[in-house]
Formats: sequence, C-alpha cells, structure tokens
Amino acid sequence: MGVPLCISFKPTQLLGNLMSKNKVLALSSPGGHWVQLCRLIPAFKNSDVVYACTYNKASELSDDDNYYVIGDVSRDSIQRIFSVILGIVKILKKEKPAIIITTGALPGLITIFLGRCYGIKTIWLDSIANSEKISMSGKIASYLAHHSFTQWENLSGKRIKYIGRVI
Amino acid sequence: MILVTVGTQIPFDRLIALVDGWVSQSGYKQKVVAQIGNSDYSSDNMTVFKSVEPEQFEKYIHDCDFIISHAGMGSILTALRVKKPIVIFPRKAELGEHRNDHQLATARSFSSVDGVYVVHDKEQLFDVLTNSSSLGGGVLEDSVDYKLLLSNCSNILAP
Repeated sequence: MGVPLCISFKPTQLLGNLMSKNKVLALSSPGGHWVQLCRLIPAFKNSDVVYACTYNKASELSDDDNYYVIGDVSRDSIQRIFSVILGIVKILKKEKPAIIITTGALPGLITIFLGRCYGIKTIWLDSIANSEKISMSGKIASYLAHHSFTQWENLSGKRIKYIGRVI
Repeated sequence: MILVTVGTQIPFDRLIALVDGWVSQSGYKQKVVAQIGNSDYSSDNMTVFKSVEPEQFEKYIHDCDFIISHAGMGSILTALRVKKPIVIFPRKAELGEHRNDHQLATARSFSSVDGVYVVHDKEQLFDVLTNSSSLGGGVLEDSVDYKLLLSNCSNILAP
C-alpha cells in the first residue's frame, strides 16, 4: 500500500457516498501507454469500466464502451497541466470510480494524485518500455498509488512489484 | 507499401530523412506513408502526416508490408498484434531525440523477438530495407507472463 497523503479532510465526502462500487477508470497517454492499457481489457470483464485517453475516438473500443477524451500533457508542454487537471476532475466527479488504473504517463500520474485526494483506490502499471529503470512518473507514483507495478522482474522492489507483462 | 511511424510527441527527422534517402536511392516504387510527429519535414518520395487518428492508422497497419518505427512500445505491440515485421530504430537522448535512452533499452529487450528487427544506423537500416522481402512478422502470444498480469489485475479490481 502506498503512503497516506497528508490531507486532513475525509476524502470520500468529496464525492458523496455515491462512489460506484466496482467502477474502474482506465486512463493513459496515447501511443504505447494506451496500447498497453488496452491489453488489460480482458481483466476488466467483471468491472464497469470508463476509459480515457487523448484520441478523439478509440478504435480499440466498441461503441458501447464508455470513453472520455482528455488533454495531453508532458514535461515538454507543462503549461497544459491545468486544463488536463480540470478535465480529469470532471470525469471523476461524473463517474465516481472506485478504482483508477493507469499505464502512465504524466496524465496518469495526475489522475493518481487526484484519485488520492478523492479517496479512490489507485493502481499504477509502469510501461514495459522501462525495462532497465522505473520511469520518473513511476517513481513518483510508487509513493502516491495504493499499488505500483513494474513489468520487469529485475526492477521489482519494496515500493513497486512485478505483476506480469503485456506480452 | 511501407509505413513509417515515430509517435506524436517529439519529431524524429533523422529516421525520416534516412528512409527518404533510401527510397530515393533505391528507386522503391511502392507507396511509403510516414507519420512524422510535430515536424515540418516534407518529401517528394513519401506521403507525410504529422499524426494519424487510430482508425486510419489501423488501416495503414493492415495495408503495409512492413513497418519502420522508432523504438516505441505502441508501434512494437501493434506490429506484433497484426503479425507485421517491424524495423525499429531507437531514438538517442544525446541527439535530443528523447528525454532519456529508454528506447535503447527497449531495442535491447526486443532484439531477439521474432518479427522485430533492430537497427542503429544508416548502414544497418539500408541493409534491412534492401532485403525487406526476407522480413517475417512476429506474434503476440498469450504468454505465461501476460496471463499472470491479467489474473493479478482481475484480482485487484474485484470488489
């Protein structure tokens, strides 16, 4: 379990007591992060899932899937961070997920942080691209998220565990 | 048809220019589609796009004979899924092509995977392209590690 954040309010009150019991928010950046998130779809079959990425339309999902478009932000475009935060807060308030799972990158880390503020269970899966060291976002996430995972056994440690991999 | 893709975040003109140079030099007659990211590179030899929406990208992936790509996981996993050969050319941080050298690590990790062909320079790239008829696709198998990932995730997500 990650360390509790030093926030003194009762987080669940922010979303009322309406948090949907098994609703999962699966969110990531585009490209490899999203492709890896989609590899987890079979694990979502018993959950009510809401997806979010930066694409206007996600071709991997069916029309019945609940999908939100979020803004993209990285360390090179940090000025966009506020609109991305607002977009994610909107999704959290509307969907009231019980669990957040993300494969990164910065928008995923932001969502983990916001999730902690709202008392939501948070899961970080570091990209399989990080085969020799955990990503910067992953290192930060390992202190914030309830569960942090790597896809490389050799990188498994106290804060970040090996969980299997997408290939 | 050849599909070239370098992701949408940071341009990778070094690779685009090499492929452009090879097409021009070799007299390759078929279509070359290049997704070049946030770059103003233009070419008479290739159809160039900054970014391609997933639906259109999926079409190109199915139409192409093989893919040339930066060492991005999205490209690699997608190529394996559709069983198309992929030639990967990792970005280098020292040339300002990425924030760090994780693409070199990815290239090392995937160098022995079927269907993935790692090249690091012009000579290796041209060599592979000239002999592209011998390239074979890989597969995305439901490996033990993948099944482990799915069962672990299901367990954590269970209410």
